Amino acid sequence: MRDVRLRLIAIAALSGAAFLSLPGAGLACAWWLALSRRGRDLPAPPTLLYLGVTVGLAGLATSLSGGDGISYTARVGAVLLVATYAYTHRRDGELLDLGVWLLGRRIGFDLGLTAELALQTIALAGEDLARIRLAVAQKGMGSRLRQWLPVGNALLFTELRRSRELALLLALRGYAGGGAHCPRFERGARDLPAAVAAICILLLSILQSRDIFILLQ
Amino acid sequence: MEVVLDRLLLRREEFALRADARFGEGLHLVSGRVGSGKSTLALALAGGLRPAGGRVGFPGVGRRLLVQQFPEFHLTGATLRAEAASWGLDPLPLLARLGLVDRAGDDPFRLSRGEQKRLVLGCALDAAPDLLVLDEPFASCDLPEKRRLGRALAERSGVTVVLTHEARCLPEPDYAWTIEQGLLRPAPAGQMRR
Repeated sequence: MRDVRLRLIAIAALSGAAFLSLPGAGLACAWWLALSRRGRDLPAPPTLLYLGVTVGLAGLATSLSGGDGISYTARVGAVLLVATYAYTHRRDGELLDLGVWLLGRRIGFDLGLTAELALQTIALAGEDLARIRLAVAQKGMGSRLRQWLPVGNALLFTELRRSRELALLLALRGYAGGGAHCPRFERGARDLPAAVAAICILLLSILQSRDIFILLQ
Repeated sequence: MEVVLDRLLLRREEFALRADARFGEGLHLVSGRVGSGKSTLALALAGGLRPAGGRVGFPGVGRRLLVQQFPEFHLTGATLRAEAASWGLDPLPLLARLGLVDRAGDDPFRLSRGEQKRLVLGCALDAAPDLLVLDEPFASCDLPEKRRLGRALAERSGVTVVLTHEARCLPEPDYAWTIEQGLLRPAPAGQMRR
């Protein structure tokens, strides 16, 4: 999906649908299979393992405390699958476009810029982490557990320095809040059908889910 | 001892770099424009990047070190003294040579980036690895530090690979390489640095 507005609507709808009911989660997975690039849209295997273990443990805790852990694991797993689609399909600058389109050149620009910087930092921090771990490994500092503190420390200082340099750069270029920006959106042929399908999945999930009606009463 | 790049293919998203080369003992200069793939090659030479094709071999090479462009990646000690010790070195003589002995108890992150670079390069050179890979070693350094580094590299034994587009202070390399259009090859005569 190329249009960020439709993509975000679809992501929000699918996340809600997946969390509300098991059929909703199943349909969200089917949507992902139909529209994703499959393996290329998944995070790296270690990240996938970490997410899987975290959700699995939460599901186990739910089961042990009397809840439906399997349902929880499946629903949250589907939400994470949709989230990976949102992350891997993002394009630089589109959140700034969205912010300005939605909320104007003052608040919208600031929020859009903040979101862009946050996403950029996540991507850069991943690269920095790999480089720091290589540098630490070269020193022969033992197990990963022992490396955790120095690696975290170096990563924190690296990101703080980068943030300071970025803030200085913005100030030097005259940024004081808000800005002129003309949002541009591209729309692919499948964008609208995909968004409509996601909304239909959400509606089906709401109708199917009894829990929400109990909560509303 | 040598580093063997056997039909090596490195990929990072859309970018690809190919190399088929041997880095024997001596000083190797790898030049190329910004974005040509020098840092990618440096990572691979240190064993920090899995090749998409081919292989990197290190016959006869014991310890290998990569000094990255940004020195903060290497800093793990709470003080300069602890930082030098983390490289397996005797801290005080080293810090004295680097002109940092009066700051031995300071946090390395309180140093300027130039001072951090001086510290990290000094530690790496003193560690005397068989293979030393330096990615843009002159970045953030002042002129006296660049000259000091040049002299230290001239005296080093083992395999030294310097990847830079700024080589004015580097001693005459034993081998010169260039990266152009995603391919590592020997630099043509006359297309050396300076």
